[in-house]
Amino acid sequence: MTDIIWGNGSKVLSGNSFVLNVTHRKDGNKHDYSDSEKIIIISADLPGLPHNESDWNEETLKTCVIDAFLKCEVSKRDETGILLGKVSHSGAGGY
Amino acid sequence: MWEIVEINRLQVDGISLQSILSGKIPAIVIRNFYDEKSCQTIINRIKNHSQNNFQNGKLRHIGPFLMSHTTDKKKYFEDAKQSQRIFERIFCGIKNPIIQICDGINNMLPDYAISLASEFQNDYSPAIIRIHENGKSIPIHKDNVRFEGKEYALSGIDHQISCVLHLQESESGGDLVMYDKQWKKEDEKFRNIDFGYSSNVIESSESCKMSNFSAGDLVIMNPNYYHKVTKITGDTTRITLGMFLGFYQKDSKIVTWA
Repeated sequence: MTDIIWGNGSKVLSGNSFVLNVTHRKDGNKHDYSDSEKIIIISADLPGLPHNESDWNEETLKTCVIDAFLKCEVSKRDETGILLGKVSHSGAGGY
Repeated sequence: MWEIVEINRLQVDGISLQSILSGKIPAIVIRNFYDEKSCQTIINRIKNHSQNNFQNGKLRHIGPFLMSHTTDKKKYFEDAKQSQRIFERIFCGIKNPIIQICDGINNMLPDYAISLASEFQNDYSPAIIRIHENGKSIPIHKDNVRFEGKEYALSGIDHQISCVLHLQESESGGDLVMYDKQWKKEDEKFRNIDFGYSSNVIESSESCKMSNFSAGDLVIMNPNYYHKVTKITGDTTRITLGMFLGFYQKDSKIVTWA
């Protein structure tokens, strides 16, 4: 089973990477995650982020992830400690 | 005191929606807005209609909801098209409640033109019928298409208002609680995983509880204020028809969607 963490996007590092302030961790995750993780997006399902990765840039990513509540399905942690994963929005509206 | 305003249909003309947008009042309830007999006709037709699952089966609904298609416009517009046909069948031969709500809003704001939202010849969903069963509740949340619907042209509206027509009430519960606090982006740190927000987000905020709804009552509120629906109890399902109004102030235009 894939490890999953949730939290709010903060600093954007590049057109495809950012810092996630982790607020929730899936019960049963195989690995530990700190309260702040650098994430490289390997695939995304985020409102406002173009489907084509070649169209991503820092400015667009800022509008999509900063403060937003995000779900990250972790693929792996690379040798520098950065997580690679699928990043998506989380939740839907109600009343 | 932060209290709802209760009126009847004949008092609609004198009501200002500005008081809702500004948060001066939490909501307006128009009692007997839609006739009870037509509510029952709609309920009977809904019972014969197949219902989709929503939120892992926790809720059921008829018609798509934009917020559950934030990154899948194609599917939303396909479902919206289909929903128009379903609503035509459900409202056949009776006064269409969606039109009645639009007419009511037009009476409050005669200088505004009101129409169903559309984008590149695609109509948005006109409404959503929600069917809530025993034990269900809706946690603290807000609805804000400007933030959540970034991929839709509709996200360019100036203001959003929510209209909820009660079609059938449960034996108890299903109360609407509104909090005197507007959502802001920094509040996203209080989000729950699946949906809604931790109660910490409304800590020390004044609240207002609305209960004793009857079939035909219409609730008008600013959905950017935090709100929730208490647990529904009893064998009778709580059924509502919901739609949003989006205001383009410069163009004096209102668009509707769900």
